[in-house]
Order: sequence, then C-alpha cells, then structure tokens
Amino acid sequence: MSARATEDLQAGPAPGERREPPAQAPAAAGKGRARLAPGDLLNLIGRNVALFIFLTLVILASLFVNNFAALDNAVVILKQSAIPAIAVIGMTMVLMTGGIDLSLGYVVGLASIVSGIMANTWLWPAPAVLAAILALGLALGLCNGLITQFMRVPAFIATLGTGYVLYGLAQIVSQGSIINRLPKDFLAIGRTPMFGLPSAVFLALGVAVAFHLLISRTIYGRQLKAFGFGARTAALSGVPGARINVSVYAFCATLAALSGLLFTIRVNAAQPNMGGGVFTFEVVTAAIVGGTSLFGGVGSVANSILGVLSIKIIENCINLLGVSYHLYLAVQGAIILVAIIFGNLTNRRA
Amino acid sequence: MTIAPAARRGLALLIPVAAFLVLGSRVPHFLDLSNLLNVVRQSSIIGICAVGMTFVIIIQGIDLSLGGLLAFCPMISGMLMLAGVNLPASMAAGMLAGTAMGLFNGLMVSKLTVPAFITTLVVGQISQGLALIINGGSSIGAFPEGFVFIGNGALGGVPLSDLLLLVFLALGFFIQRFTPLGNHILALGGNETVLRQEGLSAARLQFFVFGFSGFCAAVSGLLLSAQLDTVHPTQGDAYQLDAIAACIIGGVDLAGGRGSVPMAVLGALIIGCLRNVLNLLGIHPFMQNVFIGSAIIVIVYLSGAIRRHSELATRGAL
Amino acid sequence: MKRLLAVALGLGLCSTAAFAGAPYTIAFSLKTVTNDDFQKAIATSIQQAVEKAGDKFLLVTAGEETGVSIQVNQLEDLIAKKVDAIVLNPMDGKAVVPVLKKAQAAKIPVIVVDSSVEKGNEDLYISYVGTDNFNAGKVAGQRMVKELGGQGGVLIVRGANGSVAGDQRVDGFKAGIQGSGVQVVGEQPGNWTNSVAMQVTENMLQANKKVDGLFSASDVMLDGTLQAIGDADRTGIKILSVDGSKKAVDLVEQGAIVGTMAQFPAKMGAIAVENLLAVLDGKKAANSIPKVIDSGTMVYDKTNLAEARKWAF
Repeated sequence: MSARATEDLQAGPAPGERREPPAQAPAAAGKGRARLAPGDLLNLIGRNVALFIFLTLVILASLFVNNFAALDNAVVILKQSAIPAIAVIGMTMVLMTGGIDLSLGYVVGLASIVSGIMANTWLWPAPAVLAAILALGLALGLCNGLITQFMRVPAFIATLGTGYVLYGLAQIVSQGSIINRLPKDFLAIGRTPMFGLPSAVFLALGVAVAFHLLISRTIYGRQLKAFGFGARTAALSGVPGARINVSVYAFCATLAALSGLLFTIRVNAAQPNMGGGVFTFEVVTAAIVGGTSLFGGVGSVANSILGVLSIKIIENCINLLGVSYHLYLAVQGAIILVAIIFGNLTNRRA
Repeated sequence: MTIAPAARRGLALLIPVAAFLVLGSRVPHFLDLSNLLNVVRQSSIIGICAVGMTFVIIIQGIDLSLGGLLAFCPMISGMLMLAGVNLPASMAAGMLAGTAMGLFNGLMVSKLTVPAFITTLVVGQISQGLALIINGGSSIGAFPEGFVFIGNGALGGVPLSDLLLLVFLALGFFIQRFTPLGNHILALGGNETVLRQEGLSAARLQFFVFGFSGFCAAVSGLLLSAQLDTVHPTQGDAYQLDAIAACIIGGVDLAGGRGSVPMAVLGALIIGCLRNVLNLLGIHPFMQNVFIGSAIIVIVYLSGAIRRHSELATRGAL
Repeated sequence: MKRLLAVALGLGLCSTAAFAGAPYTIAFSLKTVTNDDFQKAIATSIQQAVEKAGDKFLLVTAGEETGVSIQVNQLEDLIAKKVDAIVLNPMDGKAVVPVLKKAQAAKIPVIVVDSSVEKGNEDLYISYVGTDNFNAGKVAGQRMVKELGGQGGVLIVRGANGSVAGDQRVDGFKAGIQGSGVQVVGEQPGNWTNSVAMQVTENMLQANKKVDGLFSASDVMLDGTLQAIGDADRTGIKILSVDGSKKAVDLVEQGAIVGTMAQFPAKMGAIAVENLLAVLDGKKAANSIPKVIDSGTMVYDKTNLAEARKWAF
C-alpha cells in the first residue's frame, strides 16, 4: 500500500501521469497554427513515453537491423509478445495499487503442468481445461489477496511466499517431468490460425481491450487508481479498499494462469518450471518500461503492452544482429536505461 | 495484571529464543556449534547485503541491483588477482566498482528523479551482463591463499565470514543510531518536511544510501567468491530477493521510515536457519520450497501481529 | 558384462548389509531434477542401487537456476548431518573444492558424476564417473559435418548462460566442425527451457534465411526448437542434440531429428553407488578405484533405435 500521498503532492507528476500543458503552449499556438513549439513536442512525448520509446525502437530497428522490417518478422514479434502481454495486464493492476505479485511466474508454471495433466492424462475437453485453469488462477489470486489484505503481510513477502509454495507444488504434481504432445483440440485454443496469426494473439488483444476498458471507463478503474495513490485518502473518499486490493491479485493470478496455458500450447509442452522467476522479472520490467510506478497510482494497460512490445523488439534485434549471447543482457539493459532516462527527462520538461 | 515495559520487552525476546532452542533441539545436529557457525557463515552473504538494503528501504527506495553486483564486483577483483595484482588492491578495485555503481544509482535517483526500482533494476542487469562479458561466460577461480582464507578460514574457532558479518552489523548499527546521518536517513524516509526544515539535502543522503548499498553488495560478493574460491558469472541470482526478504522479515517497513539494521541481519539469519533445518531434516527438495514459502509468510504475519498488538498496548488501548 | 557385475555386487552387498548393522545414508547432490530427464535418470539409478542394498537415499537439489552457492551450502549441511557418503554432480567444478576439502576432513567419501571437479583436486574424491560433455559435443559436431556433406550453416541453441556442462557441449561441437565448410551462423542461449529456446530459434531463423543444421545443447529444448522450425515452415534442417532421452529417441524414429548424443545416466549412477558401497564396506580401497570411469557416449540415430530404447530414459 502506498503511503506516499503527501510525497506525490510535493514531488510533481510521476512518469506517464497527465498534467496541464505549460502556459507557453497557447501563446505559441497563437502565432500561427502551422508551427509547433518545441515545448509542445516534448510535452506530447512526455505524456506518451511508452509509445515514444516503442516508435523510436521500431524506426531505428527498421533502418539499421537487417530483416527487421519484414512482415514475417513482425508476425514473430507479435507471437512472442502475446503471452507476456496478457501477464503484464494483471501485474500492472497490482503495481497500480502499490503492491507486487512475485508469484506470477510460478502460477504460470503450475498452470502449465496442471493443464498438461488435465488435457493429456485426464483427457478433459479443451473448454473444460480452459475453465479449470482460469478457476485455478482465480483461487490462487484470491489467496494472495487475502494474505496481503487480511493477514497484513506485505505483498512482497506474501507473493514471494506463495510463489515458493506454488513452485514446490508444481514440482510435486509433475514429479519433475514434462508432458508432451498435447491433444489437438487443446492446442487449438492458442494455435488456430486467424488472419495469419495464431489465435493466442487475438485472445491477448481481447483481454487487453477488456481490461483497458475496465480500468479507464469504469468506477472500478478510478477506485483502483485512487487506492494506489494513497490508501487513507482513498478510504476517506469511500473507496472499498479491501475489495480493490484483493481483486487485483485475483485478476493477476487468473491472467498468469491463462498465460501458463497459452505458453504450454505455444511450445506444446507442459512443464512445472515454465515461466518462473525470470518471467516475473521480465513482466515487471515491461510494466516499468511502460511507465508503471512501483509505488502505485500510475499505470495503463496500453502502455504496459507497449513496454512488452518494446522489450521483445529489443530481444528480436539482438538475435537478428547476432549479438553475442554474453553481450545480450548488458546491451538490453543499456537500451532500457537510455529509454528510461529519456522518458524521465522529457517527462520533467512536460 | 500489568507488566512493566522492560519486563515486557525481555519476555518478548525470551519467547523466540526459547522457541529457537526447543525447536532446534528436535533437529539432529542443528545445535552443534560447528553447524551454527556454518549457518551464520551461510547467512553472512545475505546479512551483509541486508545491512545496506535496510537504509535503502528506509528512504522508501529499493535496490534491485544486488544480483548483478554480487557477480560483477568479485569478477573484477578476481581477474585482477589472477593477473598478479596484489590482494588488497584487487579487493579494493571490486569494492570501488560496487560503490561506483551504487553512486550511479544515487545520481539517477537524486538528479534525474528516476525511481529507485528502475535504475537499480537496470544497473543490476547491466552489471550482470558485464560479469558475463568479462570472461566470456565462464567462471574463474583458484585464487591466492589469502583470499580463500577470508572465505573459509577461522580466527579463534570463529569463521572469518561470521566476523565480517559482525563488523558490518556493528557498522550499520553505529551509523543508524549514533550518527546524525542515521537520523537524517530516518527523517528522509518518514517525514520529508523535517528534512526541509533543517535545510538538509535529500540528494546527499540518497547518494550515501545507494553508494553504501553498492559497497555492501561488493563486499558480500567478494566474500561469496572467497567462500567458493570461484567467481561464477551468475552467482548473484539466488540472493536478490532473499536480501529484501531478510529486511522485511526483520521488520523493515517497505513504506519507509522505519527499520533497524540488527533486525534485518536477524532476518537474514532466520532465512539461513530455515534452509539449514530443512537440509538437516533431509526434506525432499520439492517440499522444501513449500515449507520455505509458508514459513516466511507465517513469520512475517506473526511478527507484524505482535508489533501491532504491542503498539496498541503502549497506546493504552489494551 | 558390467551390468552383471553390478547386479552380482548388489546382491552380495545386500547379504552383507544385513549383517552390517545400521544402513548407510547416501546423498546425491545436484542442480535439479525438474524438467531434466537426464539428471532424473541419474538420481533414479542411484536411488534404486542404494535402496536395493538396504540403505537410505537422500536427494539434495540446489534448485532451478544457477544456485552454485546453494549447492555448496547444502553440501556443508550434509557434512553437518554426518551422512555416510555423497554422490556429487557439481554445478561448478571449482566452487565445490573448498567444501570437498571439508568433506575429506570429515572422512565422508565422495564420488563425482556427470560434471567434473577442477583438475588438480583428484585427492578430494574417489572417482569421477561420467562422459565428457566436451567429447559428446565434438562427436555431434563431427556427425553434423557428415550429415551436411561438409558444407552449410548451422544454428546453436545453447544452455543457460554460465552453465558449465552446456558450455562444454557447445565448445565440443565447435571443435567437431572445425576445419570443415560448416559454419555457425547463429548462436543464442535457450536457457534449458522450451519457451526461451522457441523464441531464440524463431529469431535466429528470421535472421538466417538459409539454415542447414541445428545443434541443441540438450533434449529438453527440442520441443520449443521444433515448434519454432515448424511454425516458420522451414524444412530439411538437420538437428542433433545431447542427452539420449526417450523423447529424443521418439523424435529420431519420426525423422524429426537426426540423432541425439546419448550419455548413460543410469550407468553413471549404478557405477557410482557400486564403488561407494564397496569402499564403505571396506571391500575395496578407495585408491584402488580408477580416478576416471567413462560411462560411455553413443549417437542414437535411425540405425540403432533398438539399442537406444534399452537405455533411453
């Protein structure tokens, strides 16, 4: 929970937040419609940092990286981004409340092996597996939410703890093995070709649109942001804190479980160590590149997804350029650093 | 029946100690002196990191660069040692590298207002990447006797690692309790207006806190490599979250403004004991994860509940 | 022949164990058995051999990623626990040296399997039972040259960054193709997981429109790799892998891959336990056992599927 309400009032807008344009803009506009003052441009960038980073990467990559600007490469990137995009939506919501879900990667793993067992060993029909996995995620998320809200254990520890437990469970359930060659109807959930892309991409799109609307157009969404800015102030305005807090973890784990299911379909293998801590880290990084604040109150589904795309583009370019696998981490880190510094600089101007 | 506050505090300490001894005696070999010294030695890595992390969390920051620095700093020292540079200079170089990275974090936070989690996340990733690049992804080892002795030797029967942990514990405690710096750090974390009233600079504090955390990570990494007589390029992965968890278990508040170094070190020791007990009991690796996860939740819940209870008590609500 | 010997020794030991008194506790310390059929096979064979002799088996795994120090801590705890013997698959051959010295001081016999301990420390363990990961890679490389007729471009899907076994296999592969017209056109870490292996393979295929062969550092990454190749509609890529698992043998049979470098994890485990028990029972002097015992490497391809099925795990 964020106790930074007073800090925020003094410190100014966090990255990605809306702010009134500086006074100079109208004056400049008055000089002649055709001209854009520099202030305007920086302001525009500052308000859409994630989009700007994404577009810059696309442009630079298209110009300088062989094989990047090709339709089939774009398809590859979309396929690679679809699943993390689903996961980042849930994580963004949790981050917006000032919390974090470190169990995300482990929910993915458990969902993976469980879906494999349901589809292959118990021979359940695909719709049943889908429903069951979503229910599993919901249950796990509620646990996280309840531990955080009612046992008053900080989200960091609560989700780290449940993460460990889930990882152990996944290993026990699978006995360390993986399940291959899953049934066709099960694979069809994510692999049905539609307009040249696998259905998983459109699933991701649907989920993204649904949650974007939820957060930007409903009372729930407004309450979510208010809760993130400061629990006390939110409570004073009548925001049902407990419900919000628990609900975001529920959503996050449900979406994580869906990711696990789709990962399993994508690689046609159900394994207990799918996702894991590395995946959690990747999702959090994407949310951060997308401008979400770890302290709460700031974030958007669209921006976080742009964050995912940006990271996948960087990874794609690194592979396309044949950059040595040892340089990989350092190079990716450097690019993200530059992007973030730039984002911060422009945001301060705006 | 009213109990005097001093006696209340004494009781509060007695209970966990008693629990420790009782539970410990049920685990074969746990209370052996050699095992306990081992546990402290194994916890020393997280413990030293936790000392630095405590200050960072108190000022409402977080340091996610530990994992990378735990590999990068000893990698630098290691390469120098193998190239024939003398021990003190090599180690100093590694510590300098860590402190420099930490100061960079401080710079980003104070001058560019980049949130701590972003800059430390990225610095961590870059450090990790550099650790891989420096030796092409392979580990280096077979260091001079003196270095290995630091990690594995003992003075008067007490492993040097334990002594080093003690030194850092004392250092951190001293800074926190007996220097104005410590007070200002607490102020920055809890009540920024006080800071402004006194005309102090938040930036300088941020520089110190992150630089010190980087320094602790460097020392910790050097100690780890001394223990292993190796620098493995990804040796820091396992410690990243544990250091933060240690602080939280030790009661450092993630929201800032409250926490103490000794308690954070205690948190590290608790994690070390947990792992040790599970190993001594021969618990199956799959089940170990289940136990560790549940245990840390229960521990934090109980300590939080006890603290809230005692807060209510001191306010006379009970 | 060796199998018969092992069984005979096992039976012999069973009878002596009945008179020997308290059962031994023998621990196996390694990285992980999760999603690693190879390590699992070693563990299973050790467990079976130990329990058959009437002794107690303890499995100690360090966990998923590169918890090198975690393995060291676990070994220290095993010493504190006073186990009778340790079978060790070190995550890093140098990092375990200090703790092996402690085990030696505590008079706990150690046998090393699969990955080796740094040269120069032979006195710290009884024997190393394994196959050279480097050699396995080299044989795969030489086979690749044959498959491609001496010319072509290959991709390499490596293991996780910093993994000693993975690095050795890839280095061996490169040594195997050296001097021929076969070139490495792409090389990225698959991190031993299917999802990452799939992503890097997809990207590498994007970068290289003409790929003739692919080497995977382990069977565990084949699913993802094959999916990527299938999705990209690329055919005719000759694939070689390492491990010798059932899954890979099935793939060889289906013609999806050319072959997999088998190592014999079951043999490794059996030989290790056989020797440990002999030493513990005083039947063999520790220094009478050869320092290096090669448990064998072999290419499983379409020509020897029957043999493969016998040993595949």
